[in-house]
Amino acid sequence: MRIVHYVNQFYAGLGGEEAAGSGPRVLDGTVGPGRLLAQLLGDAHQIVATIVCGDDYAASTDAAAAELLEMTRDAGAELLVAGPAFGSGRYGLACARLVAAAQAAGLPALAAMHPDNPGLTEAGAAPVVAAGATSRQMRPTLQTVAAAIEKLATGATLTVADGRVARAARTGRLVEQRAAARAVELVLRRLAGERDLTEVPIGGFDVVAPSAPVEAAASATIALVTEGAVVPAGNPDRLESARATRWLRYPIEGIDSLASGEWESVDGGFATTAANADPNRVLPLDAARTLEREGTIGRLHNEFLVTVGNGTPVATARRFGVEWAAELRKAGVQAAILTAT
Amino acid sequence: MPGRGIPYPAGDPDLPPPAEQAWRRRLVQRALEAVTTAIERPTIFDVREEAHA
Repeated sequence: MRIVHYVNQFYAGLGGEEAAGSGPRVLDGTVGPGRLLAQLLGDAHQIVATIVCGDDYAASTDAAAAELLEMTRDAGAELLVAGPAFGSGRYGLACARLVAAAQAAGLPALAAMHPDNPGLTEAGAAPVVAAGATSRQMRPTLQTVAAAIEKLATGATLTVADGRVARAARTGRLVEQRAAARAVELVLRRLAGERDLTEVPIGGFDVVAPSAPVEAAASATIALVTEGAVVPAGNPDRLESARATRWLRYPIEGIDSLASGEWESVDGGFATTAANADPNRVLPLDAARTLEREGTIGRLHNEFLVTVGNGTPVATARRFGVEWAAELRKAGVQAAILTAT
Repeated sequence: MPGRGIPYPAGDPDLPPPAEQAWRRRLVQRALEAVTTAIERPTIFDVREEAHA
């Protein structure tokens, strides 16, 4: 099969964060991890081209997936392979959106990323196989990818046994003991030392590494962002009041304060009376503008980003976080103040 | 940073307007201190309580 491989700017050797804004480009043959993948595949399949894009560009440009797909097709792909993105959020989103677009357009595609990558839910109908958490697991991950490619080449569908990750379907079954008896038995076994036994496994909490501090607020561009659903009065873009599926942006250039009657909160999770009487109570634009005028803030970013946190699943919120970070970095913002309701 | 309350993280309708605005200003100033501080472990940045003017 003719394979086109997608990697980000880092794995293509174009640079780290300073190159994250770079747009799509095509390179001949294999680059970076593609070399090892080609070795593992042997002669049966050939990586004919590598498509590269900066993470910020790929994660925050609406047309990025379509652009990258067109390049993939032009390179003569019979199969698109994206990643492995490991635990990297923007890279994972880029891989997932690209393989989703490819699969939807009839081009077989495969991505690899860590099961906790926020991109996973964006892969649509395309298969995703598990990668390790970091590039230290490059070789075993590429072995999984190579085996998956071999299987896809036979026309078969990937399953959990191939390392495929996705939400597992829950199926009903009858058990011998009723819940009360099982619960007592479980307590006894746990008291006896089997601490991890459960019938309801709960996802763990991830660890967020704090960013390096901004050197001086007086010379920085600072953004205001909120999950408190502050929107123009009348909610013209129909932001959800719960279980957000998207986020919005509104320009605040030249606005000194969020006036009551012009802005409102549509959050369905709390009484919005006080917020609507003075929307600065949710997004503190008036105070931030004053501090900007006095020189305490170098520059206030010219728009704010907003979604609703009410009932929004963690996986969705993580994806918004990745998208916001890419968006703000691209706009030259050094720090964001997020007000949460 | 703890906000004032879920329906108004950056405000307090129980305060007279000048005091509320002064409090919001301190909140944003404290946020600016937070983003310019190196963080190594979970850290709470309280707004230092001052007498409401």
